[in-house]
Formats: sequence, structure tokens, C-alpha cells
Amino acid sequence: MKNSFRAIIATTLTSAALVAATALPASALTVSASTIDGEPVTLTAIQKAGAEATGKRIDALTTALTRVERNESLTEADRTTITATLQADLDAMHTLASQIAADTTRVDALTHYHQIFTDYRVYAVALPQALYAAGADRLTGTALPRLQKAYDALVAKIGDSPTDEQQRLLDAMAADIADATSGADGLAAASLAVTPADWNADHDVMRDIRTRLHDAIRSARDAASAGRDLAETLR
Amino acid sequence: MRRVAVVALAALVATSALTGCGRIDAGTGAAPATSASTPAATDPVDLGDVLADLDAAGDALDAADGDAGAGDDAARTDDAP
Repeated sequence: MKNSFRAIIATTLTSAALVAATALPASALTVSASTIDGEPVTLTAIQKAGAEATGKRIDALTTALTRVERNESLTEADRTTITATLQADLDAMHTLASQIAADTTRVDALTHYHQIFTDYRVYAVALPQALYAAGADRLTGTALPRLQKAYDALVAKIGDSPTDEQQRLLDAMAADIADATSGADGLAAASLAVTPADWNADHDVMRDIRTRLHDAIRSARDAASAGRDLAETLR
Repeated sequence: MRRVAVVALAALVATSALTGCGRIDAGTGAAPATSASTPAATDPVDLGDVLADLDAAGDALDAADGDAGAGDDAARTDDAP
């Protein structure tokens, strides 16, 4: 009887365990020996993750530096600022990669590993701020001056007696140029002023800059479209 | 003698007046080929130039879009912890 009772309990427990296992998602059943919540915990795991994280950033920074070098729309001041930041981050990634590889304790390796992110924010700040500034400079340095020149020429060509359609397009083009100019004004400087510490305190710190840039580009595109429609009325 | 001088002076005045009006060429005495026509009003604005400016703006906007998109891609990359 006692054995039968034990057998019943054992069967019940086994069944319960099987039911529980079936109900749980696969990820919950997987326990990694090297990471907890995605964070490496052993020295070897930290060194492997550190090499991977620094390697990706070194590649991205190298690509960005080439892109900045080729960009003819950047102001010299912005090019200098961006190049200095990207180059400093690149140097730091090389240094951290070497330090992490040479670390002999888990604590030292983890400290250096965290510095990859918290001290530099290559993806969250350095790269976006450089690229947003580049985009803003293309607007203020090339796109908007050419749009304004086209607008002025169209006004001169149409003269004092525009049709209703031409007047509507001229008004729209002027308003779109004004919107884009306002949106792009000071945008590169604002982008380049963001620091990793700013992002650590507020993860949305780049959002406003991003939105302003996209909105300014959109307004400038609308202005160009109105300009083309105006040119069409003069053919 | 006085009469000859008066006639010569009158002829000179008449010639000068016609030359000043651009109606005869002072050197040849012939009417200039363009004397009868007013120079055509030239349009200072070339529509081709306008379109070239719009094209240049469009190219810069495409590049700006590329920069913004690359910035967005970077910002979406996990940069935790």
C-alpha cells in the first residue's frame, strides 16, 4: 500500500513537471552558464563579448570616418569636430579591446566591458550625431541655397502677373523653404553637442534632433516639388 | 562767301542731328543695319538654370536622406548596457 502510494505521488509529480515544462517557453528552460540577462559573467565570456563589441564598433567607426572624409557638404568646423570624436572613439575601442583581452580578473574585464558602452555610446550617440549633422549641413550648405536661388529666379521669370496657380505654388514653395530653413537652423551644432553622458541620463536625447532633420528634409522636398511644378507652368 | 559758310554750317548741323538720332552712320553716311529696330528684351532668367538648381537641391536632399537613414540605423543598434 505504501509502495502504491509512493508510486502514485511519483507519477503525479512527474506529470506535473511535464505539464509545467510544456507550458513554459523554450527560452525559460535555457540557462546559459556564461550570461545572465545577456551580460557575460565569466572572464572568458566577458573577453569574448568584449572582442565582439569593440570589433563591431571599430568597423562602424572606420566606415563612418571614410564617409565623413568624402562628404563635400560638411562645414570645415563640423568635419573637424566629427572627425575628432570618431577618431577618439576608434582609438578608445582599440585600447579597450586590448585591455579586455589582457585582463586577468572578471571584475577588471567587466569594468572595461561596460566602458565600451557607457563611456562612448558609439551607436547611440557618436554615429547618429555625426550623420545627422552631415545631413543638416547638406540642407543648409547646398539644398536650401539652391532652392532659394531657384525660387528667386522663378519669381523674376513669372513677373508681376502670376496666374492663380503660379501664385499658389510660389506661396507654397516660400513657406516650405522657410520651414526647412527654420528646422535646419542650428541642427548640426545641436546634434554635435550631445554627449554619451547626456544619453545615459536621457535615452531620447537624439529623438528631437532626428525628428527635426527628417521634417526639414521633407519640407525641402516639398519646396523642390513646388519649384518643378512652377517651372512646368513656364514651359 | 558768307552764304557759303552758312550753307556749310547748316549742312554740318543737319548731319550731326541725323547721326545723333542714329539714323545715319557718321563715317559712311549709310543707315546702320539695326537702326530701325529696338534691341529685343532679353529674358534674364534661364529656365534651364532653375531646373539645374532644383536638380542640385534634389541630389543634396537624397544625400541628406541617406545620412539621416544611416544615423537612424546606428541609433537602432543595441548600445546597452
